[in-house]
Amino acid sequence: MNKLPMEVLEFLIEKTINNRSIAYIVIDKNGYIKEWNDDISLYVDFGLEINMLITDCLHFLEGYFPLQKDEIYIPSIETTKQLYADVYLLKKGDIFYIILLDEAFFRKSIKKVLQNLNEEKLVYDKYNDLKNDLLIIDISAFLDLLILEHLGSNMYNIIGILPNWVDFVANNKQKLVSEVEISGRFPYIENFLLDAKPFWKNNTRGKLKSDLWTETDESNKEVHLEATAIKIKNRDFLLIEYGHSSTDEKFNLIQRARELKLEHELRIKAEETLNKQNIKLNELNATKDKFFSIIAHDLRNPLSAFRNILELLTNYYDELSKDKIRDTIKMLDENSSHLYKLLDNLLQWSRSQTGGIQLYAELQSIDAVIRMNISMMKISADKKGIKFIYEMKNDFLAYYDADLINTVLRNLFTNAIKFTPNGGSIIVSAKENGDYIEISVKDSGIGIKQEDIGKLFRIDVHHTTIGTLNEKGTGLGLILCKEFIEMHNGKISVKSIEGNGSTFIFTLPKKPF
Amino acid sequence: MIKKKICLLGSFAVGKTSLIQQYVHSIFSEKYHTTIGVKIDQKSVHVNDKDVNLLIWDIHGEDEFQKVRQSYLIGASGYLLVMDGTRKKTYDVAQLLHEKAVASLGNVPFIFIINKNDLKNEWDIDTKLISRIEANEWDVLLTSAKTGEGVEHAFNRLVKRMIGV
Repeated sequence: MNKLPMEVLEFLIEKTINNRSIAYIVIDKNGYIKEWNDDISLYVDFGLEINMLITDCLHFLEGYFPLQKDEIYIPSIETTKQLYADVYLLKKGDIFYIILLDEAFFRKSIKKVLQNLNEEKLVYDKYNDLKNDLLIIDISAFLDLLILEHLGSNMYNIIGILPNWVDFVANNKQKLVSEVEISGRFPYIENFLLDAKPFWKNNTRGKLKSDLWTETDESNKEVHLEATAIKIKNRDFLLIEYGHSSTDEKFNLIQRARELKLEHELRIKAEETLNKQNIKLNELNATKDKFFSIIAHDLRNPLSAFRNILELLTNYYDELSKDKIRDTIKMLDENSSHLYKLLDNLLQWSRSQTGGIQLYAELQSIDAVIRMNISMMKISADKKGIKFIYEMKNDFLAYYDADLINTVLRNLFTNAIKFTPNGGSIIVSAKENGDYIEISVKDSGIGIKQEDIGKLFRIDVHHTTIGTLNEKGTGLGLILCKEFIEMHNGKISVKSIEGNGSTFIFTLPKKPF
Repeated sequence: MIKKKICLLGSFAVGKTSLIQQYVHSIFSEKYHTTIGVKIDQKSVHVNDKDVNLLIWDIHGEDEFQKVRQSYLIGASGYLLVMDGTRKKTYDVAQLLHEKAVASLGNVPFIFIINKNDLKNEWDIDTKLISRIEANEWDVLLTSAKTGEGVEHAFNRLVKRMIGV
């Protein structure tokens, strides 16, 4: 901290008695305490008493009294365990003042008082008064403030003492003289003046502050500067302030806050990556579980039944009636058909999991693919007396891979037949929906329990339901449908009320994706 | 000599100061040192037989702590709009600052820079963002203030566009 001029200290004592940043003690010529302000408690551990010897409470003052000079400055003295103060000892006749200033509070309060004082002096036009003029000069030096009066155009007059930092700051080695063109030295100012000039012109009250800007000094160290424009009695002033501890504090706070923000962003990103990896791992685990579950149950059980039937035929063929043999062969046929469908789905699914399925989408008819799949499923539907209702007034075109959409429709139709009692119906329809064609398969079947709807497309939940004629499933078909539809950038969903049928809806794009 | 003002705009910690340091002084520091307010650097370049003195305004990053003043931009002949390839949110800030710049300067030349190209394996740019950037039809360049990749090119390209070469 710079040394405070006498006038300023007098002012501070007079004006800032209750300011927490300043404490004072008045002592007589022999060092006995006569007066103090409340804030002395910040610096002294115990209560003061009238006529107490000053060196008993402020040990570091030992040997200073009686003062040999009118003014003594002792910077950075530790007064309590945490608090450092700048101490001023002043002599006024037979009375001595001891003033303690806390550096931490300084920027917040004293500096502000000084700044206001400085502006106040200007505002009340005491500028021509010699004493105040000196005070301004002192303050400008003390505050490291460059005070410029705008003379019109881009010329300025330097008021008071030129702070030392002006010569250290780079950009222009030319020394500042009384009348200067400032924007060459500080290009930032040129920009600030775009705001300042209208401010001065409009006789606006108060002050206009710039943001901080940065210059480099001779040693290439960054220094922060701040400009203030004020208007006083028709005169335009520009104050340029050199960044001190408050700007450093602000800088440190913002630096730390931004570092924390960056750390936080990085942590969030790492967490997101971890979550994605976890989801992927869970899916992989569920896929593996599903695969083993299908091998262990869905494939093993029908194969085992197949073996039993064959064993029955082999061992008892001669003893079985023709009708019994026909029934047994029919059972074999149904079993093999189920096994074939299962293996087909399993194969496709394993290919899709290993990235082995390539999408060959082209613009083609929706009507054709629906009709073909209905005709393929007609025999199964007829067996249960189930009627396919399908009527397409306009054919729609969509981009899709026929092989994949055949699998989707085959699975949806198989499910609809499986869960629709004898004599029921399946309504198939298609319509345009924005950039997509929406295809729906509605059955009059047993419907799906609400709690099961969410499980239908999930790989990590094992869910199968026996059909109305005990048809078995693997729970793989709808998962496959979802995968294939999503490969087309489409969506699949289901609406169902238990006991009142189900409707599966999926979309296919009209444009290339 | 022609004098031209260039502004660097972007979110905090996208590498604006580092780009200038690399361009003007050929140095790079790993340490993040936030910019408070504005720092102005100068560099003289020779482009197509013309000497140009660049006043490069390193403007603090825009965030909740500091907002870029419209008045900073006045008088700029062009600007570099910078995002950090590893932080996709910085694109939104760039977009916002671009709107601010257009409101203030009109359609002066600018280059959109995706910085930190040396950290490409950590990039946070998905196809959605790429199509958003492409939809703008901006002049996009990839740079690394750390390795210097693309930095000189970005400034030179902007200068050429500013002086109408």
